[in-house]
Amino acid sequence: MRKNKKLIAILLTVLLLFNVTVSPASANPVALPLVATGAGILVAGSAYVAQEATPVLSMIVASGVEFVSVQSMALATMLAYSMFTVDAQNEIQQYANAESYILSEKVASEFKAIFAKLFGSGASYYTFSGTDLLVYDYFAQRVFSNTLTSTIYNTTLAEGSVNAINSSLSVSIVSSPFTDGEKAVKIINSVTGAELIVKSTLLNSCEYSTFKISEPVINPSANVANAVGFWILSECSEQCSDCIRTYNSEYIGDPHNSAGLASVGFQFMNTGYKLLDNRYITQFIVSANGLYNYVFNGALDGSTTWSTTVTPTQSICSTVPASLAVDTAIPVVAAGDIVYVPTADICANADSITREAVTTGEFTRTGTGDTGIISGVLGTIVDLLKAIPEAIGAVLSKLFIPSDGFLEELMYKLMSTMENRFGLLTYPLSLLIEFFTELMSIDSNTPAVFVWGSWDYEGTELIKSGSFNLTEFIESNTMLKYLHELYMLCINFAVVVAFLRLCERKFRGVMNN
Amino acid sequence: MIIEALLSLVNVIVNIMFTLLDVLPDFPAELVQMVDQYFSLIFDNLGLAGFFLPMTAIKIVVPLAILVLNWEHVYSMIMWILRKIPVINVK
Repeated sequence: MRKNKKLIAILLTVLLLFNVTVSPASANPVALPLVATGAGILVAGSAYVAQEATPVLSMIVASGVEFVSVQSMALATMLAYSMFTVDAQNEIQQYANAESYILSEKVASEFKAIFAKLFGSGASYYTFSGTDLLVYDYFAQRVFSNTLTSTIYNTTLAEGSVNAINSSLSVSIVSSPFTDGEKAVKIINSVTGAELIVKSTLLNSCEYSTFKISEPVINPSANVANAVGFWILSECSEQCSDCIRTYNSEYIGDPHNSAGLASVGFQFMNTGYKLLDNRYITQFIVSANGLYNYVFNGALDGSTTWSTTVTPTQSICSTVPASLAVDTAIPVVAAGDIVYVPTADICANADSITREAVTTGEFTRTGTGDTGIISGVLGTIVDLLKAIPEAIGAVLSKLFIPSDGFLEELMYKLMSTMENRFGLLTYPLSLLIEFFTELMSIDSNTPAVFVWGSWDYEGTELIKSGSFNLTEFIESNTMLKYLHELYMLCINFAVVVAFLRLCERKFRGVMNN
Repeated sequence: MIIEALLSLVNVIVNIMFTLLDVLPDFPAELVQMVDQYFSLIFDNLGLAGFFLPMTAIKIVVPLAILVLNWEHVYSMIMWILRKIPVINVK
């Protein structure tokens, strides 16, 4: 019995810790504090909802929308509340302190429309062509001595007015002129020739990123009217966990151009998630101007467009407008209630569904052309015959090739077992693994930078720390560059010849038994 | 499937073996720090290897060379597995 009580107590504690709760103490009499301790995709945090909007919060909760943060839940509530008509708001306010309320037809229909605007996929104010997106493979340019920086280099971009329509801006990612081995964004005005180079933490925050840059856009979130800039989206595969990749988004712009105000003064950056329909959702973008969410539409092949929405869109996996049944009693949220239970695997499931759909799409044949039924049947038979060796190959490869992630998981298990059991003996092994991992990540595009630390002797710095970029040095001299290319060609040749010689010797050995 | 099963078996055997052994102490933290300092210098400059060696070619050739050098063992293992499958009827 005592054991059972303990178990119940633990379960209750865990439940409380891993769910959003409405804290009982309220410092502000007109606001309801929401607290999320974080669970699954939900990020820990706190936010406030105005007391009169609590019935709307209840409606959102009842509709089953998934949130990534409690702030997004609170903001969505307040936005939804503000989008109701005055009559509907008056009706809603009456139930702010009630235990539950009966949803009227008017409020239900308005809520459905508001839901579609807030959480649906169609609400976008700006649409840009995807054909001009730049894709930058940061992996190829990665460096090992990676010092993060968050400084923005302020420069006036242009004298005249620039807007998204005349589109005289172009953007690219370049080597940072400020710090060796780092990246920066270069924005050029083709009309005036003025340039802006911006350092950004985003470009150095993940070593395995692919960057996508939008066409010039007007930033709708800034208080500054018509601020022109670019959205940069980085897909960070390094931080992938539970099949949710992390996406960073950043807006870099210069309000000076169109608003006549001070130069670059804002920078937004945050993480987000990929949605089912090839959209990327950011979490809150925090700036001096407030909190904003953005959704990007994008595909790597540039076939779809990107768009930003000025309204927050927090629905992770559902874009179908929810409707609440009329004449249904909805319990109103009160202090201390658990209002929202996030599901940890929702996006993992969504990801597997997406992959399944893609796989199915690859093997679906559409149409047999206009050559008639016989050719259609023959085509099917040929396809079947062709499919047999493929199927045998697939079965054999399944027999011998381990599934994705199996070897990594096994290595992790073995290493953790060894670390637990062997203690100090595993340290050299870990070093060796790290060494080879680093070595394998090097390719021909990796800059050769010689880095050394400072050397102190009795408090006196004898040698200062520094670095020397051998690649840049070689590339600045045409003759040296030529010699280096010749040297690499010779080494490549030697490696291939040595391998062929090894194969030949082995072949002779095998044939001679 | 077969490889996965074999590797899982190896994992189980390793686990059983290790449970019979006593736990060894951790590496001293000071020593780890000293060694780390030394190795971080190497790791920081590992990019230089790409300057002097054709890493793209090496990354392809080295696994193939390991495969060729151990060809007898690889061949024996594949044949051993194939012989276990009655449908294929490999002798």
